[in-house]
Amino acid sequence: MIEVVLNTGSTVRQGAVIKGGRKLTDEYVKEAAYCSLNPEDKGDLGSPEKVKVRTDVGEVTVYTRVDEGLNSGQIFIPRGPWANLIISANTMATGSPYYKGMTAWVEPSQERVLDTETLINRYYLNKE
Amino acid sequence: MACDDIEVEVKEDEIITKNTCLMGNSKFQELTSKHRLVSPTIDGEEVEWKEALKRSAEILKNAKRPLIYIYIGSETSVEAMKVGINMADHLGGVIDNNVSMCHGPTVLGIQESGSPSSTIGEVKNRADTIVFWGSNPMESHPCHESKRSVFPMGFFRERGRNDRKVIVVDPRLTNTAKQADLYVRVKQNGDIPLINAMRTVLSGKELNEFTEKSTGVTPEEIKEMIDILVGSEFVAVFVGLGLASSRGKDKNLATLFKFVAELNEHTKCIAMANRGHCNVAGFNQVCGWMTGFPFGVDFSEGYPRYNPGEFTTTDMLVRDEVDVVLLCCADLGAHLPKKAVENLAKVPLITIDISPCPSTMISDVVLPGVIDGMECEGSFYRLDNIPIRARKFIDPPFDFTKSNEDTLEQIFEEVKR
Repeated sequence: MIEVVLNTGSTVRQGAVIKGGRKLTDEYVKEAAYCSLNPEDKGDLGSPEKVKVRTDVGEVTVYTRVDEGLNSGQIFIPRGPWANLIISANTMATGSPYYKGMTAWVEPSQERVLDTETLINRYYLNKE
Repeated sequence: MACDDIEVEVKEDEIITKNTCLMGNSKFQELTSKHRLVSPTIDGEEVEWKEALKRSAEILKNAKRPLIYIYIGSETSVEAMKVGINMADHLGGVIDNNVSMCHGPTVLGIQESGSPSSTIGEVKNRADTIVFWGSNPMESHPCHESKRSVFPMGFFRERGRNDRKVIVVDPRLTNTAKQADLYVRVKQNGDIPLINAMRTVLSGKELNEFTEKSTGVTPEEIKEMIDILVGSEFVAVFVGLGLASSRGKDKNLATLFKFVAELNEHTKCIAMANRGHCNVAGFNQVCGWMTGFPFGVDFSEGYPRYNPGEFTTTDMLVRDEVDVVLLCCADLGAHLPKKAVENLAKVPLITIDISPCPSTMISDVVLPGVIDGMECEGSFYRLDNIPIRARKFIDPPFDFTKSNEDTLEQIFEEVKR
């Protein structure tokens, strides 16, 4: 397990999926349910296909990608239902959640990456 | 919204666009998509339009403290926003917009420090130094650099990119940062120390030995940045969510805008938020001229009250203070933290949207949305707060409503019965 700083945000491909109304498709999972890691950090974790990312407010299993633009100790997850499971709702009296800069912990995971409908059903509608 | 040059050709079952990015083209393809919502539903069952309107009005009238959340992100015109704000006023509810979870801290920073600004056309014609701070337009605004800021030839910048320098300040080496003349790798959450270090250098004072530890940037890099900025004729600073969404939030922006004001004692400098979501800037304008406040406005006392953190969507949902939500062209289910969505799923939710999404999954009533600015005309504000009239060029795929303004008006009429 490694300790990291979590950044979430938009990407052009995640944006194309949501602007195209395709949030309930596998394409959304591909473009939003992943965690980018520095190559060395991914290597240190054993180059897993999936990781579990945990913060003080929750955890989520997502696929991994490599981004050489990240420093060791930084991760990036695109904006979306997967990132929302681990983002703090503390807005610091601004209305804006803490989307960038939280401390997180990353470890390899064998758990399933949930598709959008399963995630919404499990976490918000209490059904699978 | 940054584009005002899109060309569209409507063929039978085919939409051909010019000058759009990947995201823009995706949105236009929604006009003929197979998953488009065309029938109203209650609890997942298709119903008549009038029945859905009636149920929506009943839910709103029975609410004790309705949060009327009007999201202007995707394709909602300022005309629809106006109806939403009037309805919140009538019901004694709260009006908010995605600005509160997006560039809301930037708006607060402007309120605290002020911000010299310009149109984005002036940037194209005049700016010889472009700063992207916590902003990655290669991903978020793909046509920004090519058509607006970095590459286009302008009146005083005839050689385009060759007449400009680009500085990127970001904790990540983004695609935007890779093509910068100077990339400044600020430490995560280290923006305020960095800006204050820049203010120190600008005022002619020396940096101390703690500078690099608190900012992640060497004093030499900071001095190099100041030399470029002071030596420029016109600086445009574009701020992104890297500032608004990090620790410090509005204070990050307020501090940066103070620096921008101080830089104007040496050269010309403007600041502008790289706002996305089509008409999000328009909500601040409309809410501002109707209530006096830019977002997160409460009408429960019979007059508008503004207090970010108290009357903003995420905070109200997390504190479980909301008993009804009317969601217009926004997908809160996909973009709010878990704790807020948990409470959103508990309350009666009326959603107006064009396609199935997490919010429609947790909604009680779903009303098909119109793509404003394509299927009806409407006014939209560009990211530099310039209003643009968008023309209708195709009919909606149904005849029970003409626009999202029309849909909200029809609900409002039922509410007033």
